[in-house]
Amino acid sequence: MPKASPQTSRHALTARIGPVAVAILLVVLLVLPHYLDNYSLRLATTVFMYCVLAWSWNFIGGFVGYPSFGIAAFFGLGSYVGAIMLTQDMIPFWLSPACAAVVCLVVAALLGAPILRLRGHYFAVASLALGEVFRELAMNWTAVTGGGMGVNLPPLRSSLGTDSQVFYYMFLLLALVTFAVTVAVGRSRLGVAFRCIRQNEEAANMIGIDATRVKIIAFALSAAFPGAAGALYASWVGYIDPSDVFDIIISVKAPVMALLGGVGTVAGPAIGAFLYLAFEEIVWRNLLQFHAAVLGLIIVLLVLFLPNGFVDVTRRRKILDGAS
Amino acid sequence: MLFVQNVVNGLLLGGLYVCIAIGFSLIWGVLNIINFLHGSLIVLGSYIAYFAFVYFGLSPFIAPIFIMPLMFAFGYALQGSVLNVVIGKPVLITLTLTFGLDLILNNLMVWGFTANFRRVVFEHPLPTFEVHGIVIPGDRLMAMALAFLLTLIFFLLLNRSRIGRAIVAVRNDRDAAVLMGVNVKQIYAITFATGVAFAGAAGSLLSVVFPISPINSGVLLGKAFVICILGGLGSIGGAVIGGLALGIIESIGAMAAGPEYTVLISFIVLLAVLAIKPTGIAGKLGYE
Amino acid sequence: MTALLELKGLSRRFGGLMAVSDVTLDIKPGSIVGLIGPNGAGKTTLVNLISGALKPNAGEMWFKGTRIDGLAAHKISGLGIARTFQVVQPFPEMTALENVAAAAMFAGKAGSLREANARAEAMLERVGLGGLGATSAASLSLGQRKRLEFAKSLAMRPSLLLLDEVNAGLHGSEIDAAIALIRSLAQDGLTILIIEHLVKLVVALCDEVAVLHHGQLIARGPSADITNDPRVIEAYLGERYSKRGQNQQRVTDAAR
Repeated sequence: MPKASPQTSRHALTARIGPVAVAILLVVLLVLPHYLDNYSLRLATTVFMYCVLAWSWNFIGGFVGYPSFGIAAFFGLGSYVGAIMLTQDMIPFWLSPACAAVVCLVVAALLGAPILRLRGHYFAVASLALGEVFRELAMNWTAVTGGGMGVNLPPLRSSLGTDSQVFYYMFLLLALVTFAVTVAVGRSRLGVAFRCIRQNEEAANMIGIDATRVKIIAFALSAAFPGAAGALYASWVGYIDPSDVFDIIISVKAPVMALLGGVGTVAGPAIGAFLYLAFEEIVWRNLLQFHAAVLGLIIVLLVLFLPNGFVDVTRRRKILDGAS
Repeated sequence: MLFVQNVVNGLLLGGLYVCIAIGFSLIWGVLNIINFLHGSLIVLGSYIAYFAFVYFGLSPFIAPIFIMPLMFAFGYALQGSVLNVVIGKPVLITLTLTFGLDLILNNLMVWGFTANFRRVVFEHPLPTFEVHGIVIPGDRLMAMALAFLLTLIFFLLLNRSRIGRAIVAVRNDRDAAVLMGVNVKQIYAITFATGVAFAGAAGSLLSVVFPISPINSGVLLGKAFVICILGGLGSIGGAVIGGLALGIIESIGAMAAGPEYTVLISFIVLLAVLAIKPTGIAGKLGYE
Repeated sequence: MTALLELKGLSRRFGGLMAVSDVTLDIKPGSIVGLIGPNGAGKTTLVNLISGALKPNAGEMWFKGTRIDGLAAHKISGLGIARTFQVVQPFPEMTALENVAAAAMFAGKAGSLREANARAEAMLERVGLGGLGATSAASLSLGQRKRLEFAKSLAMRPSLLLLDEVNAGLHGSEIDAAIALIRSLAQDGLTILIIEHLVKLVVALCDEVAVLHHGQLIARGPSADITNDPRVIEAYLGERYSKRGQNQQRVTDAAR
């Protein structure tokens, strides 16, 4: 039995506090809409959406270590699947995120096999190109997607509450599901397989891990949740077009948020999503004309000075304390 | 007949495209950095050429002589200050960094120059040639010829000069280059600066053919990607093959499916190449 | 006794070079077989082929009566072949225990996380890393990391263990410990194929030796015979030494 060190007992403490903290947070989030105005509700909803994107990227980029720049591809694909199915009256609203998730899961699983044979730079470029291809398809396949004119969706007008409130809870639910899957994966054999592949893919194969299959699972997970988010997004904003939902900045935001909070951790992406939105809001409010440049500056500073994110900063402190 | 015209158009364009990709390929091949700034740097070069033309009457065909040293200095400073920090770091870091830098540069250009399209309009444009019924605009021919000239100069520099050989040495085997006494840090800076200089030159030549706006930087970057993957990284031969190939693919594609499909087609080609032979036609070097 | 591993006409090319050329070899269960040959003979390539890291260009591989050439590495591990690497390949960010438990979990087919951890602890004990489970793999010494490789391989419950230059970089007492471990593993019934360039060690440890040269199997037999085989001497030291040996013998005979 390994001896309990200061680190492990601290870890045990966090493990006990963790669920309690999450539960408290959850209660707060559930009652928050009663206290917020519409604008703040929308901000909170956006945070939840960003959490989903960051956690999704974390599966393939953080856990497995394959730097995907393809989140936008599936966010956009999900948006269009949701929008088209809704405007064609194929499904009721509450099914659209699930349908979008399934489509994205299947597409990612099919495309994953050839793409995941690539490593590093080539994989990054391939995932980037995917988004571009999808965008161009959406742009040109006018009969189905409306081309550059985009797709208009009718407002929700649900009996359950205002549109803002309904979407708040739906995005919160999606974020919770993504969080739950992240935690479950982190603790499971699949999570061990992810980590082994990231640290040494050859060795992982040698100890019996089917790296190709595992990578495809990670890639599919990283596609399904953005797909669902995209479908919700389409209904939420009421209008989508190719350059909006396939915008490459979505593909960059996801890893940046994970970087901010801590790549490959469980809480990191959510922390990063929150921080990123905070930055975005401040910049939007005050520097409209330069918001892209300032966002760029934030990204640059982050990469240069804090490549391990905030979560790692605290962890480093713990290790130092344990050593003294 | 139409087919041949399209092939010729494709080659004319392709020659120009080679110039777009050289700098990008060099930076990726030697520094192992995907330079997301590249498109914006080309646009910057176009703007400098444009304003030099409008205010000083300097022809964009000649402007590279002045633009290149300017952009070289800019690139050198940028590498030395910012990019140096991330040399050797994984692609997630380097790509995100250059993406962020590109956001800054692009935004500044939009603020400074506005997004309105500018055109270089010659008072006395070069004549259009006709050879056996094939139309060859003089401007494009000149641009292509100069692009090839620049490529040739670059090729000679890389293979004949001491610095060029050092660059190739670093590209092939960084650690061995260090042992041979090469100042790798300086080589990185020079390489990046050279890449930026060529981007500026490409921009100057492009300004003759295409309208100028910061909005274009994404498209240009995309082309650079396709050319490098198609032709193969880190070699001039690869950039030439890739550039010409893309020019032809775009021309034929536009003829077959319509000009709005060229981007889609070129990116599908990129994915196909990655799936089949990631190192590209010229192959050889492929950093992971 | 049917062979545990059968290689038939196995070949592998890299560009123009035949790294492994038409190798036919049987390994009987419970034996320790040495694989020797000068540098570049193709020993590691052969191990890569057997473990599935590389696919052969020609030939067949049979393991416990099942054909395994062309199978993916992870499948072959699951069937009961484990290997160590000449340059050790741990999972650097995990502890020693986690490293071994991972092996137990996947190829080792452990039923649960707990079972995997338990087996991992047992294997660490077996190789002499008993108290070091919580240490990060990256901070172990080279000798310890080599033993970690052993532990990982054992956790996979293999029938055949491929050892690639386990002694590279180790000194005196560490090598003795490695030899003792290998002997005890063989006594437990494990079949072992060991690549080793220290011929003395091979002779001491192995029942049989196979010799590769330029990718070809040039000799095969009991250790004592092999070291005197002129073809083997020629492969290592060149023709001169072999002929000189023969000439010496002639002189000695003539002098009698």
